[in-house]
Amino acid sequence: MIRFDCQCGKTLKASPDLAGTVCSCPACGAYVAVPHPLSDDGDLRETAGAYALAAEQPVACVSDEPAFVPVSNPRAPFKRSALEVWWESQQNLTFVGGLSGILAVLTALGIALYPRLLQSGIDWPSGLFPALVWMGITAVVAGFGCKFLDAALDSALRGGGPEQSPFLEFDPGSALASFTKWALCFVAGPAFLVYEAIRFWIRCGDLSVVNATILLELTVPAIGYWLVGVLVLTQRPDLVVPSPWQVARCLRTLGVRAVPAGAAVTAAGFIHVWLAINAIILLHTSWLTGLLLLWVCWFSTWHCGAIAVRTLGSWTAPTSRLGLS
Amino acid sequence: MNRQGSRAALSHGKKQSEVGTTIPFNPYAGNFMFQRRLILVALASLMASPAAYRCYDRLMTKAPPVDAAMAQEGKVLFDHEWTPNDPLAGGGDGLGPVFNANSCVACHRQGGGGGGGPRENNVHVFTVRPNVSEMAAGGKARQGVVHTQAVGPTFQESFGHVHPEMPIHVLPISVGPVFQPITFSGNSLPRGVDLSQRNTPALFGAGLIDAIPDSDIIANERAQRLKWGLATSQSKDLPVGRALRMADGRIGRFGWKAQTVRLADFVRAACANELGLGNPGQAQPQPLGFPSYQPRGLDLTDAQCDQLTQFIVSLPRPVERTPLDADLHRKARAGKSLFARIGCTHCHVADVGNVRGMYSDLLLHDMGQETEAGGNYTDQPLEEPAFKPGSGPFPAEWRTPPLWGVARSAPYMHDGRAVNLEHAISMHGGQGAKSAHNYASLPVDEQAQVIAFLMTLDTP
Repeated sequence: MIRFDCQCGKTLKASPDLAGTVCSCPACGAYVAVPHPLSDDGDLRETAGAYALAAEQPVACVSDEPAFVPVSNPRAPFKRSALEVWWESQQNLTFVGGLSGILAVLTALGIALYPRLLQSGIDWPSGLFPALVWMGITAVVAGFGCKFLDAALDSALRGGGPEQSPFLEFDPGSALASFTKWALCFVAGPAFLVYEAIRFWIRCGDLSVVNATILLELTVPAIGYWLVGVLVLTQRPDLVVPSPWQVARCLRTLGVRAVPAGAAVTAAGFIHVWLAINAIILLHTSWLTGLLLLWVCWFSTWHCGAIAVRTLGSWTAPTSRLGLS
Repeated sequence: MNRQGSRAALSHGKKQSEVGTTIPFNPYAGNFMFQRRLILVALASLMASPAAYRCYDRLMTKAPPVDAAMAQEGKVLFDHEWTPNDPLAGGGDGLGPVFNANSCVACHRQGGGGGGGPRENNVHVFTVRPNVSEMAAGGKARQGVVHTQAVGPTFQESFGHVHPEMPIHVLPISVGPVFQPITFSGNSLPRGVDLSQRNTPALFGAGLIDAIPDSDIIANERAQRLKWGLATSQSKDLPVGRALRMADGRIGRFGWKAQTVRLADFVRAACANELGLGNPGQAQPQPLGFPSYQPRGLDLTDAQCDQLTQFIVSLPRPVERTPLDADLHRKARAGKSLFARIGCTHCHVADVGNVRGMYSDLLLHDMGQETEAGGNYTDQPLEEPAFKPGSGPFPAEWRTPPLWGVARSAPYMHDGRAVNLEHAISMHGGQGAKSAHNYASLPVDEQAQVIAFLMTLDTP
């Protein structure tokens, strides 16, 4: 018998021939993927699949213990073409465009006001209030972008499919929660690396090959850790912190694909940082051009981010492991 | 089987299913072989990282030791009153033929040998930019020094030698108590001509400035850009400076425009330009009215220049002197925090690298139209081979002068136009205007506290 845990905490049993299928928990009714005997019950993918199922089809399907009802995959009856997937991902174009516009204006406001605030020698408490207001508004707006990325990741983890539009309902609370998740993953590891990279950039003098290499050494794991951290957190919501070991395990799952993915993500990250820096510099001289470039930068960031999380999600999707897609 | 048993089984390479039990998921338990490999890879990467080399390199960076014997010889040269055909000048013509003083200490004397100089020792510099037709004919900008003295009337320089439209006017023009810019009986200067003055800088602590790595100055530049929202040094109000990059990539740090990289070069240039002592690093200037003059040889050898440099390196650094009077001490302490609060430390950074209490970022800052020199405010920098193309100092750009020793280095500003510290603060324009405004907005007693703090920055 295979023993595994449901999200409700109940320990379940199933015969080995049910491995890879999805069953409903007799206690809470949630759909639970029966793990393969060769993988431990902490394997991330099966559990995530169960959550995805539970979220999508919360139909009560209670059966008395110890009977389990295998459920066929209701979501991926056929494999969708890449073009189809791409087209569906463009449905949020207007949303991302508007979001990027608001964020570009907020960023420009921050860039314009903060130096003046700093230069006026204003006292800390009185200077803190507008800074906090600005940070709060920016966090909520960016949270909608994080929800957009979450939707892309969720879709990929379910084996592809139409993404839930993050702007169907205006819910600042959930946007803030989503932003918090992404921020948490940033603080859990990349924050330190990014801080070190900036500190090193300040101190290293004019860039040489050696210095560029060191910056690359700090940047690659920073960006990679962030995305994989989000992936881990999305797949195991019961974990509060995407610890280094969790990230390492997830990287192990990705295998050799992590190398080109890391390179692509880092290259995209560099391009966006370069774009953002130039946009901010332009804001000081030609604010309209700077604002436009800032919008392009934000817009591209969300879409590149969505591509990245979709790719990572599809590579670690439980459905592919269970042979359902 | 308990957890320890499971771990033991895993460590022997057995699969979980083979052991026949299930372990609750715990990311910190199990799979230790993989974790160990990961740690080893991480350690190997760190060891191979060039960061280790950079850290080692930084830790090993130290100021070169002072050669006491050379410094002693240098002091003799520093105090020596040079004469034409001076015996110390070897095969050269000695002092002149054009010069501003006959010894180093004649100008560098405030607060002891090596200090700054009063306004009567100001140096007069000129810049002549070609007009459109001259540029079309291949004409280039000229700049140099109009020397106040000469070994004979044949060589005496005047403003008339700078440009034919300017009157023959022998220097010095004005050394009165009130600073006067150079004018000629109410006539404005010819188009393309700029005349300005330079006050003698103090040399205390110059050895420490010389030892600051370029990367520390660039660090100031980058930190300021980050601090001010990535604004560039062309900002007219935000205090964002820039390091002056020479053609070979090194960073300038000496001189009012940060135009010189090394102290040794600064010494060689000063010997040639101010005393007329040609040396291997800098030829002595040709008299403006006698361009065919040919010196018969060099006045100083490399060894003599190195001795002078060693003497300057051996000079003690300025100090922050604690006032003995308790009330004054309290005022100075309050003034120090006010100095930071009103924004003076945006540019007058207290520490650069390992050098403490210098109060300068060694960067060029746009100080506003009122301070321009070397051209009009909107003029592009002069193209000189020493600088990277297009990166020379703009007319209104000045290096933040270190404030250590400021208590005994009046007058202030690049040409000594400010007679005291209050006057100097009020003359800050451009990127320093906001801080000057903040200072002016302080109550009188708090302004006095800031000045009290500045007066603690004394010569050794």
